[in-house]
Amino acid sequence: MRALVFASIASAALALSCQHGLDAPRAEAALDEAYFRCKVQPVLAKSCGAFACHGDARRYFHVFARNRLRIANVEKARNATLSDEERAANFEAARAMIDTASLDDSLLLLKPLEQSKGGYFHRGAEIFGGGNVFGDRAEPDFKTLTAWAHGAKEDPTCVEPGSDL
Amino acid sequence: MRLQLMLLALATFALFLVFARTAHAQSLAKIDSRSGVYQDTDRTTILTTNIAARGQSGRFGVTARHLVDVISSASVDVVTAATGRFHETRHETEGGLMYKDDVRTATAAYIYSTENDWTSSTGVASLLWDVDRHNATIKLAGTYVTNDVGRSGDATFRRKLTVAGGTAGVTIVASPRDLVDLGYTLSLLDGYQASPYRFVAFRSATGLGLAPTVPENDPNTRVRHAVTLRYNRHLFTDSALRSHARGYLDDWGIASVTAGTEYVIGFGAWETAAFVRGYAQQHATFYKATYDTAAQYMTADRELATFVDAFAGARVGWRKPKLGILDELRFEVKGSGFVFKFFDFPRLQLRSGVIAEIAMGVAF
Repeated sequence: MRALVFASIASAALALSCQHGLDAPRAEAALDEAYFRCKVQPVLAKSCGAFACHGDARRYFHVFARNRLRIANVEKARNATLSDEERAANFEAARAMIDTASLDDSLLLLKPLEQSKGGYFHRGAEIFGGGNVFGDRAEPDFKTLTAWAHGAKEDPTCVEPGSDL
Repeated sequence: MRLQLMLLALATFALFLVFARTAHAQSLAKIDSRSGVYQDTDRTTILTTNIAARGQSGRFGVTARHLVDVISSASVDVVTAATGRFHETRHETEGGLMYKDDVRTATAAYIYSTENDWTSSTGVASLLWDVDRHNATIKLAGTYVTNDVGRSGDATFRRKLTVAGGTAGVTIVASPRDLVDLGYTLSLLDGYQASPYRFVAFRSATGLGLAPTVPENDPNTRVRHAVTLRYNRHLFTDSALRSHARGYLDDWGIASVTAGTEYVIGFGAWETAAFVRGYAQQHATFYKATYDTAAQYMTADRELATFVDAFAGARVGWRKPKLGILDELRFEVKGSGFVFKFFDFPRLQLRSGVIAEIAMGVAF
């Protein structure tokens, strides 16, 4: 009986002392899939998806692309067009790097941007010594990522460059 | 900076000793050193050396301490970040002042700690007040810590964490053989409490694709409560049982209990002891082994998971008073083993290890 009373008091104390909403769901950015597929995905494949960079499945943020990282790690299928699962994985991985509370501070934008232009530290820029992916915010590919983060839309029937070859 | 602080602390201590020796024939100084080796099955090794000095003249005293941790790790956290084994050194320097009269002991200290991605400054103050003809001691203590959190190799990553805390307690001589100590500690944390090296994977709302990952995100504020009970019981002619229990709650939903005991036996100049300690913790509200959907707060910190641990070990000490110019010379050797069982951290379910320590101290 005493143990029950003690357990009840302890449970009540725990419940009262907790911050509320710590396990609340996170709002995910409502981003356009077509714009990603036709405009953003090519940028990620070109600028991020090299094997030594984010085309490595061990990296937290990794990018699937033709002739680079593939879910099915079979050499003769490496040149196949991206599967729906790979496209979805790329989309979700990029969306996770969008900060819904402050779109312009998103990791997807600031990580590849030169630090002197307000970007974050990017180990890739240090390792390969060629500077960060984007030298400044005026670069077209940076503008493409920014536009997507801010909700830019594309015709749903658009064709991802290279996917029809 | 740390070298300057260390030199300042040592110079202050040396100066104090000179004055203390001059002013009082009965002045007392103590120097203690302790070195240890920690090795666990999570591929982490830590070599620790701690040197502490204390001098007292009449009612006033000074303390100085320097600790060095040499850490080498390829733990699951390190491997998961796709980086290799890292090696780093942490330095911690402390300097303090003390006042002691028949019924009161007041201390104040400053601690500076630094490693390659973390710097902290700590101020601590305490007051012990004997009442009821020394049968009880009231304790009040306060702590204020500022931390600068960085990220290795990343000069742009800087976060702050501030900790303020206080302890109130009482120690009672319940009988000639019994000593009871009861304390309560409150800590308030505000700032960055996650790790810049840990990422969390979760299922997206669409359920399509592989799990994306994001840097872990902990709440900025945390309120921690701890209640501690210690009980020392003198047994037979020269032995004692020292037991302790601790209950802990915080507003992240963590609840834990700790219990331990040590049996100490004296044989003239020798003292030996065996000890055991157990700990059980319930996970933080927002901790999950895997996240089915994105949550506002997500962590991959196993210290926020549900786990139990157990430590057990033994120590042997030797103490010789009045040895030549020394008032006392003492040695201690200590060995302990431990095991952690994580119930909802799949990447590391079990961790065990050993800690070996050797200590030496002199008083003059």
